[in-house]
Amino acid sequence: MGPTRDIELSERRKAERQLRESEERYRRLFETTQDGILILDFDTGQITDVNPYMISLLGYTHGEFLGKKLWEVGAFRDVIASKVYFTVLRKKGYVHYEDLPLETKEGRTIEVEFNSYSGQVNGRMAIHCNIHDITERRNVEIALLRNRAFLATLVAKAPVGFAFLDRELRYVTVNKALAKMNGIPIKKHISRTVAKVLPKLPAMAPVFKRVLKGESFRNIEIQGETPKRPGSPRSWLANYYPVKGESGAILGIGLVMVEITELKKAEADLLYERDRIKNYLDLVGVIVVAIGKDRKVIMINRKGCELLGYDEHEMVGRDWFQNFIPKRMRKEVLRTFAKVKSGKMKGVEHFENPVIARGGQERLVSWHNINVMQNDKFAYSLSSGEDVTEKREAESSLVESRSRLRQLLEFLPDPTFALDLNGKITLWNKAMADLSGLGAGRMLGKNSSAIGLHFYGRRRPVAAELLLNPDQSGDKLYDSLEKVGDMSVARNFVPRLNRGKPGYVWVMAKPIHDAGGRLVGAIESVRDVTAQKRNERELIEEKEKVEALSRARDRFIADITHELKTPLSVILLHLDMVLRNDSGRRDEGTLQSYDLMWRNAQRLSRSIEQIMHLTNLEAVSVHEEKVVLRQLMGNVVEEYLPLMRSKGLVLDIRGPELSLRCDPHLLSMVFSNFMSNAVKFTDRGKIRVRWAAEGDSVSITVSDTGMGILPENRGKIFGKFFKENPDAPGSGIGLALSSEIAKKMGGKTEYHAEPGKGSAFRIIIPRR
Amino acid sequence: MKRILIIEDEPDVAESIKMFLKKEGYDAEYTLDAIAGVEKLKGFDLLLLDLIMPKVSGRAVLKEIKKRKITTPLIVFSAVGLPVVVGEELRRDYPGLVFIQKTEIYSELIPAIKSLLK
Repeated sequence: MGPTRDIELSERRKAERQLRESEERYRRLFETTQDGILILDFDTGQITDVNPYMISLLGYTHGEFLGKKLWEVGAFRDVIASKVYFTVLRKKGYVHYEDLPLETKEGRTIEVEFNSYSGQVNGRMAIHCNIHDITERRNVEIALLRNRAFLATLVAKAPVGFAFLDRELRYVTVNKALAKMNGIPIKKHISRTVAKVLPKLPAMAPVFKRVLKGESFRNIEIQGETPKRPGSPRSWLANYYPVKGESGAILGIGLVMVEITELKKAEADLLYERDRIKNYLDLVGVIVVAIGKDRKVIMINRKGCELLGYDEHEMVGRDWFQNFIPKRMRKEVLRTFAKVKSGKMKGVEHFENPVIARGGQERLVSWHNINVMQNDKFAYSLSSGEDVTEKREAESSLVESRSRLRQLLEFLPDPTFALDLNGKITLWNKAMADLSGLGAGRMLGKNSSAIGLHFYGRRRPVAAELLLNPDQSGDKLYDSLEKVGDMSVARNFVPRLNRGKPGYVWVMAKPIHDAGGRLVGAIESVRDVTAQKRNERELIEEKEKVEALSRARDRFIADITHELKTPLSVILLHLDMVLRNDSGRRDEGTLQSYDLMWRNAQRLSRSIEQIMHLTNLEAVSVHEEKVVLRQLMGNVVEEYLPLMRSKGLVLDIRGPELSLRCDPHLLSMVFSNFMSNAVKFTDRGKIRVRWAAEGDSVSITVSDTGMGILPENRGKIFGKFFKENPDAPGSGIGLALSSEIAKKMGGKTEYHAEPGKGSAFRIIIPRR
Repeated sequence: MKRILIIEDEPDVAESIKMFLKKEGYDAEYTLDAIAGVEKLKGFDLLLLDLIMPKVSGRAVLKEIKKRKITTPLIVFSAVGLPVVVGEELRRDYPGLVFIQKTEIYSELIPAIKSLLK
């Protein structure tokens, strides 16, 4: 053996070794592969080898495979039913079935991929069958196909518009619904951009751009026009989402559209309707508030907002009870609400509760409430309310003032009662109960005739009742009854006034009117004036007595003057006759005696006349005539000249030419009195007489240098029967009479004097 | 000679006036009974009547004269306290009547008679 042979040998060994190794590798692969492998004899087609996976896959034992022809194995019997397969295989060298259903020994069908090819195995031609179980893969594929079909159907048939846009925003897929929605056939969408297909839609490019960056948009509302209904705007809800490939790259945009035009219209109508109702609610003068079952404010009208001092948006959505009902009331109001909610309060209910306005101020609201039901379940409570704060305040203050008034009347010191229109006693105060001895309990509600019966012992109306029945005359029922405005004031004797004792009453009754001016009753106050009446009667008696005395005195004076004057008149007549007719036959001494008698008889006569004048001056009437002062004064002064001469008094008489209208008799009387006083009380010096016009008046003054008048007596000298010196002559009525006469003439008398220095008397009368 | 009848209940006064009138040249006569006076008034030219008399007053006499429609001139005299008042009052009912105070007879009676009998 040469080296070549050695080499050849080693080569052969090497090759043999490699072959062995390769066979081993193949064997290992054959044993462990997850494909089923069958080796068939190329010529006979008998199975020469089968790997473990094939055994486990088909469930036949090793022995059931070996030596059999392929089609003799049950699993392949139906599938490769003829020898065609084998022939094809031998001719072509391979056969491939992509999807071959095989039945396992237990009868389960599995899908396999079948590959067979011919080739050398251990130097012999053999057929190599490789079965790959594709059951799982097929199942997935079928599911996928099913999904796809489902999706395709869904997309095609759904009433929702679907489309897929590529990155250039061109339609790739469009479903029927969308095409219909747009009013453009599917074909006319494909490969065109949205902007081109639907130019009258708002520009969506910015949204699409964001979608292409991965953002999704759900249910965004878009409005616009499509060729389907040109000229009328439509609305859609659009969903845009990125469509990603397996790698996660964004391939385009998925688009789902739902048309909501009708919905929007309905919504707009609804909104319009709601606004209209809201306007109505805002217009009404009451508060309207709707509260949901969650206690939150659903709606409140303008009046409600005004009352509570909030804007609507500040209130809607807030808990009504927590925010607008005072804490102290909350429990109770919530209880009411619970009742309302539960349906225990049915229909319209009425209640009052306060609410808190902004700033904490409370308002009292009178509510009317209805439950709004939906599907027989409480939906919300609708309440209308009226602000009754002022009304209730007024009512309560009215009640309060009424009770105050009642208390006042109750404790009025004057016995007081009131009657209603039917003459029923509605008030009988404490003083009345005290006076009558009948308590309010016995009298209230009784007819007023009970009052007459109690006080007068017979049924007779009282003053208050007469006011209610104006036709009835009360003249014979009361000693006096007069109307003062709408009141009656009466006096009467009551036989059983004070607890049965007789007495006199002074009664005041007044009709009671309501706010509308309608007569509703009458009130009467009774005053027991028995004591007062007694005093009054005594006073009247006293006065009558005084008047009678005065009359008697006047009568007496009249009688006495008559009695005095009658003999005096006889004396005077005879003295006159003697003095005037027989003077020549008497000696001087006798004549002087006669003269003295005559003068003193005259004086007596004057005095008597003055007394009569003073007591009856008011009966004397004034007779005015034109009087020349100088003349009148001269006549009076002449009377006093003899006496003045005898006392050695000087007369100083001066005055202007003056005439006036007055009663000469009355003026002479006054002047004569002044002169008489002056001559009487002056022993030396002079008597001065002055007269003058002073504005609208004339004054006559007689002054003397006599004894004057003490200061303490000056206020009294014009009083009747005053005499400074009780022993002085005269009746003391001259100055009093002068003063009265001056007043009667519309003037006055004055006196000026200093004791020891003389007096001055003046009369001032109007110059007419 | 004019005849004057005096009705006066006081004899002294009646006698004095009668004296005075006689002196002045009148035929005067008096009666203390007022009723009798009225009866015989027809024969006289003038009546001098006292107002205040206890039985039948001067006023009653006046009333009777008025009733009988006697037109004899009248002078009423009195010692009443307020001659002015009384005189006025009488003249209201008997116009033409003259009233004289008793104390003023001497100075006022004759002029009054003269004016009435003019």
